[in-house]
Amino acid sequence: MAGIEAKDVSKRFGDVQALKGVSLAVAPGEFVSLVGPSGCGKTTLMRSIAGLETPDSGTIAIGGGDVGGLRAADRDVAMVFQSYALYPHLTARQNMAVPLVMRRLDAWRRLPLIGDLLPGTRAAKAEIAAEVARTAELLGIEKLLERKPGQLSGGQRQRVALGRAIVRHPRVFLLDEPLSNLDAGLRVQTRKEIVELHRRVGASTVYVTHDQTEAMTMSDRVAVMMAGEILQIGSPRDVYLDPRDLRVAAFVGSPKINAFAAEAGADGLVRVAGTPTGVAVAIQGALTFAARPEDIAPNAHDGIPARVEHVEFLGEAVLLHARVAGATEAVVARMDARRAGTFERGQSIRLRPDPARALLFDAAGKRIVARAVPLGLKEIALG
Amino acid sequence: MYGRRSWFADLPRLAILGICAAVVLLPYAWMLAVSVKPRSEVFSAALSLLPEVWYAAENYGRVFAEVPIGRYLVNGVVVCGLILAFQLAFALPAGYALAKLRFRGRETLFAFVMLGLLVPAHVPAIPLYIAFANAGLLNTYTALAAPFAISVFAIFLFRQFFRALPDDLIAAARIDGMGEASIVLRVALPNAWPAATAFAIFSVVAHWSDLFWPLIVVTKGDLYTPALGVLYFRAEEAGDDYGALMAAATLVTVPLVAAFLLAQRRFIEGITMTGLKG
Repeated sequence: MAGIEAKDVSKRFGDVQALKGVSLAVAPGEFVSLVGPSGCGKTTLMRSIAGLETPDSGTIAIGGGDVGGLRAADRDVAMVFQSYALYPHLTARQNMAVPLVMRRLDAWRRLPLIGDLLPGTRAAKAEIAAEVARTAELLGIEKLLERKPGQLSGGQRQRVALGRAIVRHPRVFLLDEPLSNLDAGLRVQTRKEIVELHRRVGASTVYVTHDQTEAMTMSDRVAVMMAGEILQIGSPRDVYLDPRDLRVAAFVGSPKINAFAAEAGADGLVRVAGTPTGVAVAIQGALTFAARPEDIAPNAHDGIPARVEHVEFLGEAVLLHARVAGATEAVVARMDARRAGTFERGQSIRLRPDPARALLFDAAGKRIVARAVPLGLKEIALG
Repeated sequence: MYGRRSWFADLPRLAILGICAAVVLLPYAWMLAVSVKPRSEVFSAALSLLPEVWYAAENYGRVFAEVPIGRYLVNGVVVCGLILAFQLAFALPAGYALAKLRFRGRETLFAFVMLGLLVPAHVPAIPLYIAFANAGLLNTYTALAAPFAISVFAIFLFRQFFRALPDDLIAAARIDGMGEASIVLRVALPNAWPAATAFAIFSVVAHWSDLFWPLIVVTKGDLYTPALGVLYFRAEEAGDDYGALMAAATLVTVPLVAAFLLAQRRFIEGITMTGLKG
């Protein structure tokens, strides 16, 4: 078991600063997701760990040892690519055997005819064949082994790529958006399988994805990346409930968190569109008041005035899209389908965010401490 | 729908293709015809493909009796084999490096390769001849093969082909433990079979029938290439013996045609198996 430690890693491609001094520590056996929009540097960070990119500055250590000077081949990492990157001219069996063949047989033993004559080649090859068979069984692809990648479906290719990665028990397992080419149903199923596989194999795993659902459901910890920086790293629970940055709050969670332009008065009370929210902060001036869809409820009497735009019935829940006058984005409220009343398009309502769960961010987007204060009757009447 | 079209609708197309094929094949047919005719019939006014007097044994007999045609064919195989082997040995890694490795000056180097494409083979012929003469290498296999060992065309061709290989595939190979040489041999080359076969055809055909360079550097009969061997029957003091000349030409062409037919099969296979995407 080996952990990964990246310190102050920077990488520039021409005019683009892909990584701005990123630090990331993955504990031995841990499953960490790098999540962020495309172009945020998550793949560059992973490729730097793999040894496919050389960082301009910073250090990367695997299992305590600096791997900066090592080639990808010598870092003992395995990687699954978004495109799977299987060798098109080799069968699934040969594809999975490649990492073992390259590591266990020297150049002479790999020669087509002469290699077999050298002592030990046959035994080594038999062992490789047995390990490939065992891995194939683990992944349920025994029947596909004689096919070439061109004859496999997307899901099958993905499994072969996984097999090629785990067959040699690497110290570190890197997955670059391995599910993005699968259809929705297969994706959910494979998600679970990868987690189980990780438990069984136990290697430290870095998982790159732009899909926050994947990151949240699979990982021990999630690192949210944006514009070449890790904004926050923490358990899926922390990242969702306790985001440190407005961009993290906005990226994690679906539907997106509702952000309102707000104002804190001299008394520290926060108002949205002039409506008191029941939240107080220690600063004054413009800030952002944010509430998750499930923390906002429509209310007949008090709250932020809005107009119903659209209602989505999801089965267990109802999503109410409403617009606050002057806002560019609609507010989404999530309600229990059985308790939600009926709404009509164009209807005037009031939205009341739960003050105890509201998240507040300063003008720079950094989270600030907020406390719920009971609203006085006078303020409700004014609202 | 397509299969139901009558052969009648295909007739114009077949006719055009047939005429083109005939135009291309006619010289070869004529070569074969002349090679089995006696001298008297070669210039007869009657245009006939089949000879009145079957003269094959005499013509081919003369070729085998007067020139060591077998030796020439072996020379051809050796020279073409050497050239092709060296061309691939240089062009595969060079093409790979120009296509997939990032290093300073790569584009400049590639520009030089492109410039190299513009230089005709005849331009450096005299300096090369002088160099080989000074090195005492005239009348050797080295002199026949060395000037062609590096083919800028092959470097260009493989560079273009390797560019189409997904970068992820190369990255995967590196992670799987391959060095750059292994990547060229185990990943790049197997996926470049169509290019390699096409290039092999070009190269072998060009050097098998090359007359210009062997004529310059070889004066001893036992190093004659097939094309030089054919020349023996021309410009003799007794006048050209066209029957024997064509017999020799036929013997020299047959291995090439056979090799081409074999390679063509491989070539088509190569195209159908490149399922590179995904």
